[in-house]
Amino acid sequence: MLSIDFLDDVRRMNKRQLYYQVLNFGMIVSSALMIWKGLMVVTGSESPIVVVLSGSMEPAFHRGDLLFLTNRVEDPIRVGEIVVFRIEGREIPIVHRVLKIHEKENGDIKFLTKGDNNAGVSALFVPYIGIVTILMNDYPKFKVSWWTPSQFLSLKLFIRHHTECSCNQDEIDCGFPTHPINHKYNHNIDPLQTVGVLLQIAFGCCRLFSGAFLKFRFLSLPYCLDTTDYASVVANRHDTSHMD
Amino acid sequence: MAAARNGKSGLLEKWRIDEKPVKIDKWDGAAVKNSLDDAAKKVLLEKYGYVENFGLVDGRLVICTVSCLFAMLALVWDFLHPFPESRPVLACCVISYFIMMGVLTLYTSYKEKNIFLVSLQKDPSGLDPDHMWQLSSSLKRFDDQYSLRVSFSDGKWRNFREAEFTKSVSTFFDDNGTLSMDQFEKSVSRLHDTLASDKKTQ
Repeated sequence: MLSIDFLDDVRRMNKRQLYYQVLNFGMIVSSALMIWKGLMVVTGSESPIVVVLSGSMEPAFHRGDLLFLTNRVEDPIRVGEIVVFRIEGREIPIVHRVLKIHEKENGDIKFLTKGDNNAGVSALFVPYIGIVTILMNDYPKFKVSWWTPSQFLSLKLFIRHHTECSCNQDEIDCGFPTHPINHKYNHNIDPLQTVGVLLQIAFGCCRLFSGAFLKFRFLSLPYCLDTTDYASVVANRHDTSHMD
Repeated sequence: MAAARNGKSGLLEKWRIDEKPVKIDKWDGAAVKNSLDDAAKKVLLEKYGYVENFGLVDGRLVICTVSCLFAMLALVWDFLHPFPESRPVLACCVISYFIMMGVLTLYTSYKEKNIFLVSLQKDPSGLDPDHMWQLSSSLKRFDDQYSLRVSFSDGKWRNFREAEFTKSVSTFFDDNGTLSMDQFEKSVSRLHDTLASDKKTQ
């Protein structure tokens, strides 16, 4: 029934009106895109808004919070600040707090980071490549719990356990009792879901402020129920199965 | 060749449903206004045989297309040259995009106003320049008063006249949301003839 009405509307349009409807849709998408790119330019970071996925930074950040990031070259990173970083070869960024900074004479800087909420040793050495600093503004704090991933996705992408240490063998003091083995970290931010959230917000705003041109039925992005208990998976240190 | 062309136009005829009576949701303000505007356009174009001029609409389409092109450019450039290098290009694209949005808003507010049809009445003798008939309408949100304004611009003597009527949409739609074309056509024609007769007396 619904599809027949929709087709009737389309048939009644001439070429220009059809093109205008297509353009309208394009403009919505372009507006969201331009706002995103604009934020990228202003803040200087590749991913200015990210969604927190795991609870490793509680009570500072909870799952589902949106974080605004900036990356100003002139601001140095100090101990105690929260940073969001991405490791080469891995897609998903990580948000942790800086514990120690090692600076060599040739300019190489290494950071020791750790999540606030992790009971044991869950920290990582990262060379100074592409690090993004959070401007302690979790403003606004969106607590949207409907986008958590399905079991499959969470196993595959978001929870990974690694056992290699990425610090240099020459580095004597990397702070781990079990150096160079058994370093574990969590991926806790998902850029895909961020984009999904932004698109939903953009569509929602468009619908609020204009009623007239939406002859389209927009597909809403699929909702997934939260069936994964991150805490239990993260805490399961004795799990030796390598999940990729 | 002729058979193929006839076949194709036959398909096109079946696709276009101009002859079916228009039925819309009577509570949807946008659909009501759109259907009334379309019907007014039909009256002017088919009954009086005027030729539609697409200048205004094309202007808006061009502005929108240019904005989308800026967005595409930003997307493609950022994809080819990852973020830090693409920063100046991105900044330009974003700023241009928002400038185009401003231009579009100005265009729709001041140049287009509520005009949805610009049509030309061709002079049969071919000597005088064409007369221009414009239709504009307004229907406030959640209101039922629809006003249609017809303006006439004489090609030769540069006169400008306009007439309008404001009626409730319930006079044209029945309970099911079907537009009664006869009623509407009568109102529009009456409006048109007022202007046309004024032209003759002057």
